[in-house]
Amino acid sequence: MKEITAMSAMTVAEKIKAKELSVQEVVEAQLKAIKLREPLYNSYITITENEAKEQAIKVQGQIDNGELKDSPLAGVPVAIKDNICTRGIKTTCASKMLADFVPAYDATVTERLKKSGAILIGKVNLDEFAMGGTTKTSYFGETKNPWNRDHTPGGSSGGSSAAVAAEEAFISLGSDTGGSIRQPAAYCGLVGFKPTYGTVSRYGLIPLASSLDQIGPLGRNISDCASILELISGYDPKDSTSIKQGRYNYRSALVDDVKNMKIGVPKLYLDEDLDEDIRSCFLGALKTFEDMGAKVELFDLDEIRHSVQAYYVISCAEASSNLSRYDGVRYGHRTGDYDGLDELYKKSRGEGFGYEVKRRIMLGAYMLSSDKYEAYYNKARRIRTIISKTYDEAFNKYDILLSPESPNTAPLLSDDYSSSKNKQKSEILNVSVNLAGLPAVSIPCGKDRKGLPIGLQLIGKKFGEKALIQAAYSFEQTRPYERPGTLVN
Amino acid sequence: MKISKESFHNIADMVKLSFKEEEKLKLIKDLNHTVEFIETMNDMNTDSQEPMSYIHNLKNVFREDVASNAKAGQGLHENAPESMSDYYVVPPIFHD
Amino acid sequence: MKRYETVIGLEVHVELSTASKIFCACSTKFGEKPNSNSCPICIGMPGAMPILNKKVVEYAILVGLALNCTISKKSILDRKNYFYPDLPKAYQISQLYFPIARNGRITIDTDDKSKSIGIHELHIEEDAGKLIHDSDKNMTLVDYNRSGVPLIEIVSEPDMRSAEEVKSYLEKLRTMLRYLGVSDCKMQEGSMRVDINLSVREVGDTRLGTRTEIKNMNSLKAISRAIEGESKRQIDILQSGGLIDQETRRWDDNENESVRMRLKEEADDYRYFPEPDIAPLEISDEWIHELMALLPEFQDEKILRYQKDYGISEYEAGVLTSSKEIANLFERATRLCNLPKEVSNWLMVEGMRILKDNYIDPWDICLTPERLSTLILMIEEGRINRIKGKEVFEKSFLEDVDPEDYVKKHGLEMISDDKMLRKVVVKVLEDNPQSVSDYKNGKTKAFDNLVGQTMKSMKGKADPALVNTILKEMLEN
Repeated sequence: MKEITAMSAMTVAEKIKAKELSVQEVVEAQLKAIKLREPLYNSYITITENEAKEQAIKVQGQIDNGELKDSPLAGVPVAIKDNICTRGIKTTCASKMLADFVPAYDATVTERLKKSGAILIGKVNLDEFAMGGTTKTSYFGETKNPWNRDHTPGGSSGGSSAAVAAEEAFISLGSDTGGSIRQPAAYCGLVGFKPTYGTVSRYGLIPLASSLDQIGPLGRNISDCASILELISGYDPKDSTSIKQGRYNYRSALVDDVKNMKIGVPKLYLDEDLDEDIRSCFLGALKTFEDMGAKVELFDLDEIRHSVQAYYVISCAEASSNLSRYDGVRYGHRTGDYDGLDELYKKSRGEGFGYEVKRRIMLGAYMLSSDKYEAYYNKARRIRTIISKTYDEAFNKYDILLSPESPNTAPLLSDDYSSSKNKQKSEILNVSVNLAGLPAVSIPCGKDRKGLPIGLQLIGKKFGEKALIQAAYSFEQTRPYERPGTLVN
Repeated sequence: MKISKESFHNIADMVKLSFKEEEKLKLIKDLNHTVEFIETMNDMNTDSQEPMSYIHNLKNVFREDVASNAKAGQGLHENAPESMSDYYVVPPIFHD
Repeated sequence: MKRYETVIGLEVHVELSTASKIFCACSTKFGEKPNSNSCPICIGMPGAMPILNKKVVEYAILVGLALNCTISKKSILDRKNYFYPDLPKAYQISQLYFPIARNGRITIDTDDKSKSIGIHELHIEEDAGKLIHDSDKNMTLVDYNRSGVPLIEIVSEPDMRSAEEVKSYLEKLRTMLRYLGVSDCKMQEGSMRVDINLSVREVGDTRLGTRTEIKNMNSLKAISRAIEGESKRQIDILQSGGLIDQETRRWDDNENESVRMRLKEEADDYRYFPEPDIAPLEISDEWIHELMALLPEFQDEKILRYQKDYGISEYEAGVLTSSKEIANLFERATRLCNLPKEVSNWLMVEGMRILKDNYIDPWDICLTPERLSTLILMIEEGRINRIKGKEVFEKSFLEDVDPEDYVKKHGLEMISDDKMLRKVVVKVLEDNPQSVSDYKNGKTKAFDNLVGQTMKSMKGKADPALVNTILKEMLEN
């Protein structure tokens, strides 16, 4: 039999249902792999060993009683990004500010996973407050890419991607504000799914930018992602922005058929200074889709060219407000030495937040100040309207859009390329998706000359998850999942 | 420079952040760099566009007026850096 | 000497009397154990999200309609960002750009005339927690029970010119809000709080002077004194050639003067922006019509109708309609016993006295229209006399007491037994020879004394008319 931890989430779930594996066995195997590899990758902030073992017994009992029959992930260990609240378990946002914060409540996604018998195996690393694309700003140290430890696993859901690639988890939850699920999935050779805004409840997700954030899965294949997405999707009365919809039957879209599917490819991406390996992989992917009977067409999407600027303004503005509550009064870091309230605030926040967080708070506050509001914040929101309309028009013509997920593969952790122009341009495709609230998935489509994975992004129209799943599933049939060659046993 | 040292201090005061001296200089430079980049969006005419606030056309999302949170406050205290009996504690502030 | 006039606009914050808070299911009850009415949402825990209480919106629309406002078809909640320990999220969810209602007016009565005061806007927002200053321990304690209690803010135009007009406006507003049942408007408990915007200018000048804002006033008397005081301060400055600073001030009622809190330039930039976590409001005509049907008959309309329907004076009608509770009591009891003058008398004289003596509010009255009617009919039918009637009235006004039961239990029925009363009168005349001779010498007051003595021996239960007759008869003979 294949190593347990190397199996897909769905396979393990089926074996548990068939009594070929017990939940305890699976959890033990997972914990063993974590202990073995965690020193190499640092995917986790908190490993919930005891809770997972207890949960395993409980869930096995439920399964033995004939419960959880319809739950696709009963007994499967899942890692959760550490900006998603877990009752009684530290939820840190990888920040000194919340290093000891233990929520007294579960996020709605946490609650739903527990109810469906998934096992919370631990809380995974991220950039501080999900601000970044490398995990380098984490208070708990950077995570390493399982394909090559000198490289970043991506971010901000870098712990989520590294854990799944390193087989320290079968599947994980991340959050995506401007590519934070899709980019780390691409860097680690995984599938990363960012659902339509409003599909998954944000209650208990510690917000970065409320109008952009969305929780989604990272997994080793689209079937695993579709399964978990089905569990966590759906209207939640605790989140005013969640959408009332019928049953999210995503697994029904796991069909190998893209015949006559209309696929648009924005030129924008091909014009860019794409890395040669990425360009050839991307063109190869287009060819694959054509070979499978899809109609692929290049088109102009130039109207979204200012997405990154608009994203900066809107995400930082919202973040500056969302992060104001960390003031050292009710929870979180409080400075040890202060004279008066103002100093308590400034020192607690000054010490509790890292540089990148402070940068974005400052920028956001500047953009929102009364004399700048129209010129920056409203301007950005008007551009957002244009972006949204532009995508709507594109989806009048196409079922899905394709692009490289990123113009480069995982950079070296030692690189400092935070605000280079090229990087900003490359983010257009990631962030515009969030600005328009669209669903998008990144799937592996090859490797570069250094052996690092390359991601392909599929963008859908609002609530067009099923088309994405079907296209991703079809593509996946031509390229089975590849694990990093370097994993230690 | 859009953001001078003085306006930097004003914003920092507004959002209650303290900085180390070297952090400050780097950040002022970074912020100005970013603002400059953001302003490249101004070449797009947006006069006829409404500012977008919400993705979906949701409206009137309400809850009914029922008080049912009797025990929701339990355990919230445990995260407080400083508390006294049932209260949270901050340094003395006089005059509202 | 130049003559000045004072120009005043008010911002009134009113706590709505919903069962739960504006964004969470915590109770709004006043005076509970500190922080017992709090949850992740109203304490601003990470990841918690607000859900708007429908009743808050309905109450706000009702008030908007009562104030003759235009109700916004589309309304949005905004975040107002600032740091203070009573504000857990470090932003208050409020409304700036698209408030629920705008452009209303309210008519107030001053001594000699009525006057229309414009309402600039009305919006909904959340209240902050409470800070308790402990000077012994040199710390400030925070209680979030009030955090998230729903508020409406009613912003008037600068249409008032004196403390009297302000008082009249606030009383009018308070009566109206209480009639609507949306707030108890208890200023001393902070459920109605007032910010005063005040400037002065030379009479005849049409431009507004530089204004100051006096924050958080919570008594009508203090508001009057603050207006007088601040108005005088500003006039003194102008007269000595000075300029008014635009600033926020605090009224110190003990020192009888206002004190600077901060200058306008120092004021925070609140960085308002639309609250992304709450969907916009869309208020349809149907919804407005549904709510309009719920508007009660207000005091002004009642005063006119009472004079017409019940033939009582404008003054009486004014007192009876000063609260919805008394007005209801009056109307419904009258419908049952058909004796409007009697009902009015009891409520005007005894009812008002009991409220005052016991420091209670109209909504604390226990008396029901049915019981009031029963009591009045008992008196009319001669089953008890007025003296005992007062006792029964007070009892059932303050407590859950049925007049019939009470009268029976305490044997208060009126005694009209001629023979028995004659015996008592004989005894009284024997015991009070001085009064008898006074009466015979023409001192009529002595007669009252003898009536009193007789009633006293009868423990107040005697039929007073019969006592009068018997006494007169015996004294004349």
